Amino acid sequence: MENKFSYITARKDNELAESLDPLVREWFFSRFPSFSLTQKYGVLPVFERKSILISAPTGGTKTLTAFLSILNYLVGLSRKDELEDRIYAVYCSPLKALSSDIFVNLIEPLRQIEELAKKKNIEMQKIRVGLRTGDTTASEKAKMAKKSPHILITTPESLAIMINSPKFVEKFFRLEFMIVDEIHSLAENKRGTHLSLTLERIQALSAMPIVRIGLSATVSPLEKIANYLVGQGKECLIANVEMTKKLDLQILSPVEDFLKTNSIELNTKLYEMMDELIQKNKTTLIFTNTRAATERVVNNLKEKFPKNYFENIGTHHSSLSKEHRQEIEQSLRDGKLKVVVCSTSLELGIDIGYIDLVILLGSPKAVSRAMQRIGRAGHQLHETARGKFIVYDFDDLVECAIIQKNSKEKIIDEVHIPENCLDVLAQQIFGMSIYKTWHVNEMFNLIKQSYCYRNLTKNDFFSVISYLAGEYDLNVRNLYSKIWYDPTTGQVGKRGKLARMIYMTNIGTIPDESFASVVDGAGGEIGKIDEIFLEKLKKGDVFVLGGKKYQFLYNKGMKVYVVPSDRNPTIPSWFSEMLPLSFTTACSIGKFRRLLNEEFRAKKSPDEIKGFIAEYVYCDEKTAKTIYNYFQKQYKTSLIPTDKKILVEEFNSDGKKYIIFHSLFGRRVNDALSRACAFSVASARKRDVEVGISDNGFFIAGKEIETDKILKGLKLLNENNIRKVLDEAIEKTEVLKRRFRHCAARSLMILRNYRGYTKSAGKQQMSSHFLLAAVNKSTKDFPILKEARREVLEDLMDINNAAEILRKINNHEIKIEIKNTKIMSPFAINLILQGHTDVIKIEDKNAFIKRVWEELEK
Amino acid sequence: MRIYDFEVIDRCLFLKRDKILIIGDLHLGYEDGLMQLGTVVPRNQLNITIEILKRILNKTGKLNQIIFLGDVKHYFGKILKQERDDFRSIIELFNDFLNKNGKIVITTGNHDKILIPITNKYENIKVLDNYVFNNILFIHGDQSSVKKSYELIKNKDIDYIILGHFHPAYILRDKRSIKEEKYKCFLYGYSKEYNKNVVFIPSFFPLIEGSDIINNLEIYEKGMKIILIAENGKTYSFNQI
Repeated sequence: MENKFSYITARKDNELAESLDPLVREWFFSRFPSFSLTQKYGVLPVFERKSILISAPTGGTKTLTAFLSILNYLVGLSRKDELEDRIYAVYCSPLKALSSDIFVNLIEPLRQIEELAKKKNIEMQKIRVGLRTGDTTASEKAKMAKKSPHILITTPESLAIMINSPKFVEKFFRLEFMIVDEIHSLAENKRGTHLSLTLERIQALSAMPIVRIGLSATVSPLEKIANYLVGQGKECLIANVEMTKKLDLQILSPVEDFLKTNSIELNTKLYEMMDELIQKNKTTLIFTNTRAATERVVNNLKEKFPKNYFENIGTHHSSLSKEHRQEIEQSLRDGKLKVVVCSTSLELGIDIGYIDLVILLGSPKAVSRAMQRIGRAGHQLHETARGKFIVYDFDDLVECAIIQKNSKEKIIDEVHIPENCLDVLAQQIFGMSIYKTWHVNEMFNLIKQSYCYRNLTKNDFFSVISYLAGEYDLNVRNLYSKIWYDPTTGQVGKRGKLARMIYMTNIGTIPDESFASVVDGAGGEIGKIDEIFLEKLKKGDVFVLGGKKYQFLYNKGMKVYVVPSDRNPTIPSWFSEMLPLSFTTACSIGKFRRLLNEEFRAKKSPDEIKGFIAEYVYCDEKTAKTIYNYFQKQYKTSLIPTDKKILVEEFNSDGKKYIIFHSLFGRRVNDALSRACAFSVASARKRDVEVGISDNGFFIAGKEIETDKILKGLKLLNENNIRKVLDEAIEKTEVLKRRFRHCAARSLMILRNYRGYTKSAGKQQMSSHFLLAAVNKSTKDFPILKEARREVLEDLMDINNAAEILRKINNHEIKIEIKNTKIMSPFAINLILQGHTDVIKIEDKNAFIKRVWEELEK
Repeated sequence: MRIYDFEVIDRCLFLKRDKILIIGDLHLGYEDGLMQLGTVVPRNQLNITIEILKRILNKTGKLNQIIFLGDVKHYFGKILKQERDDFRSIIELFNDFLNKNGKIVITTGNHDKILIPITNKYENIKVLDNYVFNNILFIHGDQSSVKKSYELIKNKDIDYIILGHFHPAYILRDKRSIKEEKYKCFLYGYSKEYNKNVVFIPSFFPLIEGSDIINNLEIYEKGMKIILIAENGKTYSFNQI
């Protein structure tokens, strides 16, 4: 059957009311005046047993929308004494905390309905709600195994564990409803890939078609997410609920000319602006993009305005301990904090009370992210969401302006769903083999039901089977293999008594980054820092964590001992992977550049152009003026690059030549383009080449590089050969090593927990370098290595859009123009400053050591 | 290339006149050790080890003695099957290159407290806490071996101490770009701590370079020199660090 996705409209109030059991109806209207818009979209399709994707802005009544018909159904059964001891509905969410939140929001309504029934002398069976996450205790799990909850609240990992437990799996045999919340945040990473297979396994267990309900924020395209939700060959309805919250957005710039302002003055003005806004509002939420920035901002606010910020300011990011984060969340709910600075950690729907103002410090890099963050302000559907962008350089300003425009016009970034992830597949096949013995065709067909694996080839499938069956290691008999495969009968099953335990204790897709635990004198954990940062720490260094300063005393393996300090930080915060600009937004900015360029070329007056800008991006005069000045300088000095014209500038400095490509396609595409380009150049010279990558373009630098050779290198690339070139280009990079280690853990090549040891880093740590070296020397087609490459090229970089750009360059839809400038153009200055540099390694280690030695001898 | 009286061949020291080859930490059976901890990697260590050994033995010719500076095997606590098998392969290789009455000495390391079960079937292998040849003391270099050899270290007849254990490596940087690479290295010179001339030899173990002598290890003292070893076995001496 073909996939079928159809958009629906809101239904009428009376239709909804009539579908409800009288008791439920009475309860509902005793608490709410009417049905919300989201409910008018979503409640009846669930009642009619149709799978549906509900996309609604944060703070909507999504939870109750998903549950209302289900509660209605269960109440009906319980009144007739027909409620059985099994799970009727599963609610799955990516966050453990969110699941707890929903538990509270579901228990209350049930309790109220039960009270109402008592009052009316209506007899009802007890409807049980159970919560199971990684934090659930063993005794709670045992209780649940004995008496089934009717509604189960859980996480993707716990769900996978439950369907592999003989005691628990039978409770899913007649599951009727599956709710996946925050589905957009799951679909775009491997946790979602893992979940998609779990959903298909659960469907295979169940006797009847399960109604799947997806709850999503505003993303695009919704058909893709719907397809992800229901799998292949199914139908799904889509409810695209409009945001009724009004957006009150503003762009604020601390100075008028970023290029003329020194960084100290800029910093001062930036913090003055933040302080002023915070003081004017009751509770403010400030979003940054990285953990390091979060710490820096809190630290600076405390230092510059010590009277204003002491106990009333909070830090929130993923490296802080769970206790600390929960404390902050509770303090926010209680209204005790004036400002909380956070990174992406507070984007998802945990209830944090009422927020007056959301400040986005710097561009959020995607429209969907901007809307999620701004949506945190207010938190009720009908109020106004107040958000302010505070920008810190020209490009940031333009980016925020376009994001503001696209937010207002609902131009949402396209979501990327990873496909054919062989490491997740290995883990799931292992899980499937633990459950029972399969025929490979049965297994293959089930896997292909998932959207993420709809294009899986038999080749890849069997190479994963071979890896799990231990066939990549012909020298060792009696190897620790996880499954057996018999090619003559086509049967696959688990091998070894430890198989189930190994699987249960190592399940999951969140990579075990090597984090060191930071502990204070009492041994309490303050938070975590990553391995790379730890390597840089020296005795006595002072760094910031959780908004407080600590002095590094010493470390024992992966435990870092610190003591509070009030000295200034001596070491800049650690580098964490930065958020990339989305391709969709990048193209919007490119288009804006083109339209502005046309205004300049048509010799329109400054006021006309400023007017155009103000209207186009919905900003005020002041902002329009700043944008105008930036573009005007670029137009005068050089050219304005656009989405249809890549400007190439040559520039010399310190004996090094820089060749700068103004390709505004976002860091992910530029990462791919720049490396492919540099690689083909480097191979020709047999020497390394330095590359700088940013969202707005890339540069290639070196002592004797020539522009025409570089452009020739670029012209040699096309959409057909780019993958091959990039596979070679990333061969020796740190990023491949790191991702390979993550993939090795996911495919259970490295076990976190084995025979009672929980592997922490330190002496036991498998270095990525070693692992890759060991695997490389055996075979190039090792599926886990193939997956690491795919992850780097498709998920980390964006090879598909890069290929598309190459296609457009080759057929002249995008032109390339070269300009040699004596001084760097304004656009170029930013590019060089932001560029995250790397080296494309061609020169092998033997040649390198020889060369350095020869130079020193001179 | 020489360090004191020794010739440097790839990652080993060689006393040419006496035909003695000195080999650093081998860590045989590393992959089996990993398996005990739940990590599976394809087996390559032995092949590569033998390849490199052959390369070196072809340069030395037949030997009178081989000294292993400890950590011949990797896994603590017991002898794994891979260690037993791999050790046998290595000894068989050496037997082709040892003269009649040739001897093998192993100075125990912290990883190979239990060696006797695999060495006692070979008559020409001796397992010792330390070994002295002329004025040279050979020890593994971990705390235990240093303690046990305290008297010898202080002895005025000993002029040189050769140590394994530390796996010294050096990160070479290209001043003008941001490239850096790690290489195995010899570190040698006068040591105030031992009050003797010392040579720290690199691990033989082919899959990892070792520990950065500047930032991670605390064995470097001012004035010491290094010799870096490229992957193809060529050696380069650097006088300045």
